[in-house]
Amino acid sequence: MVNDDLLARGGELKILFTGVMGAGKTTAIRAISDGGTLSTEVPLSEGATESKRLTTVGLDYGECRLDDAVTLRLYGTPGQDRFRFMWDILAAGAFGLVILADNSRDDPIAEVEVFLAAFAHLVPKRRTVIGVGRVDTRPQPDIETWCARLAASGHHVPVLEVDVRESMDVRLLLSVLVSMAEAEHV
Amino acid sequence: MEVNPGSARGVPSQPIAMNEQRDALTTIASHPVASPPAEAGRTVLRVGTCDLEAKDGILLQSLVRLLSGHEGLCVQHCDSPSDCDVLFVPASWPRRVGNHCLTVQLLEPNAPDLPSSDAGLFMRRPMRASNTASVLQAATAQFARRRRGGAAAGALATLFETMTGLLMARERRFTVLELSEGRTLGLDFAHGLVRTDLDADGLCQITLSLMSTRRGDAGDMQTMATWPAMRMRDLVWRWSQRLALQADGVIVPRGRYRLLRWPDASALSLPGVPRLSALLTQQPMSVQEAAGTSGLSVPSVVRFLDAALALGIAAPDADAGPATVDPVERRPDPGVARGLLRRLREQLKLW
Repeated sequence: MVNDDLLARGGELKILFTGVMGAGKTTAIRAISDGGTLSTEVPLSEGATESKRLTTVGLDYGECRLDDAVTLRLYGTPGQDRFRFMWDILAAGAFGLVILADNSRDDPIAEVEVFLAAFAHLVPKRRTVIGVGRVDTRPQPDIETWCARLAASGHHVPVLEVDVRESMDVRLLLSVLVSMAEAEHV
Repeated sequence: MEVNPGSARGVPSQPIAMNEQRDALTTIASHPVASPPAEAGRTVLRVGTCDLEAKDGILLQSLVRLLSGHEGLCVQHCDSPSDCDVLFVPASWPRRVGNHCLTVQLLEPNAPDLPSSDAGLFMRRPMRASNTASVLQAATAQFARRRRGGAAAGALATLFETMTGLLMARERRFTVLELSEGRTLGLDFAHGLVRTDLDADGLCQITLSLMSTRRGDAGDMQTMATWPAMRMRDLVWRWSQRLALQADGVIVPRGRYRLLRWPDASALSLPGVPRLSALLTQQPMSVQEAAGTSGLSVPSVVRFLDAALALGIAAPDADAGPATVDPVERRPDPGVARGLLRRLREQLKLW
């Protein structure tokens, strides 16, 4: 389940970024990876917008070397539903899960609940953090509503307003993830 | 419970009247910043009870009348808990008042002592003139210390205490804070906004003093509707973070507290706060325990809790209900894991 045995042996840490198409997974991974990232983006065949012209058709990958022995591997799941079969593969052994949401969508909370349910058997909620984007242009639902609705569904996870184009915000998500892991070792 | 319109404080433990509509706003006469009025250089402490039996309330009222003017005491009985400076409460009373109020917990004769705290005292039953006088003298001394500390902490602490006091009282009415230099803050509780003619940086770094607090009227709301607005939650966190740097005037509450949910992103921007939040969402902790485990200073933890309690995302342990996070499986031999997590923090510049 959670990859803490590998933490003990030294090896790799895997953090998974998931969320609907256009939520910012590719952008988030690029913001914190060493050097370049592997991206499997192609132009959108339909539904392209000014801010979203490409879509990931495989996965995103970035890495960050912590030291000679340990590498942080960042995986982004493809957002389109037809690639859902890859989620289990990518999530296996993940240290943590970052779910990115787009607050401009019709019901972003319901969409995130799908991801929470899909990954629940692979990554526990105590290693899951939600980043909500586009709150500045679409303030509703607000973060209080997010938390209340998720809590009503039994999901008590951090929900943070972020802009993944800012590396500081991506690092905030990871700071929270790491803090949750550290709290287990107190 | 009606929040006393003349007071900026409330006791949210009692049900709040929700039948106030905003169709017609009533201007309530300005009242000074809530603090004990001075009387020839002496402070009058307003003393009352909350959640005690009626006979205890009557007895205390008699004792306060008897003792005032004697034993160096300047006290008066107050029927409204929200206006009290000193509140006599049951032994296991979870703290639900702002830090402005000193609680006196009534213990049974054989009960163990409670740890000392700047937020409260304790007294053993039966209530007599002698022990009541002693505890009121201690309260008087503590308020004198607070005033000295409060003067050093300055204007921001007063503003913060006023706003968090109103939030804890679940205030919904538009409230105007008149500041020095002719500035004004409009607290739009219904929409969770602060409206002001100050710019955002000026508001967050504010050095102005609170002159008075009053209920806003339709004219105020119309005028301030054109002013820039900031989310009240964000401002509360920003002010708490500034106050965390000041050790003066910090009152350490007794008891344990737990986060009911994670705070907003604006609260998590300071080093150590994500760790503190992770700890407090998993288990209740006292201020000292949280400070020792998170690595933050006691003032930082106190101010964080002040903000979290006011914003309704934290509660005293007795009120918090069942745990809302997955039970944590403690890891054996955490040393290696901690080392890797530390490297992760360093490499990615996390906090």
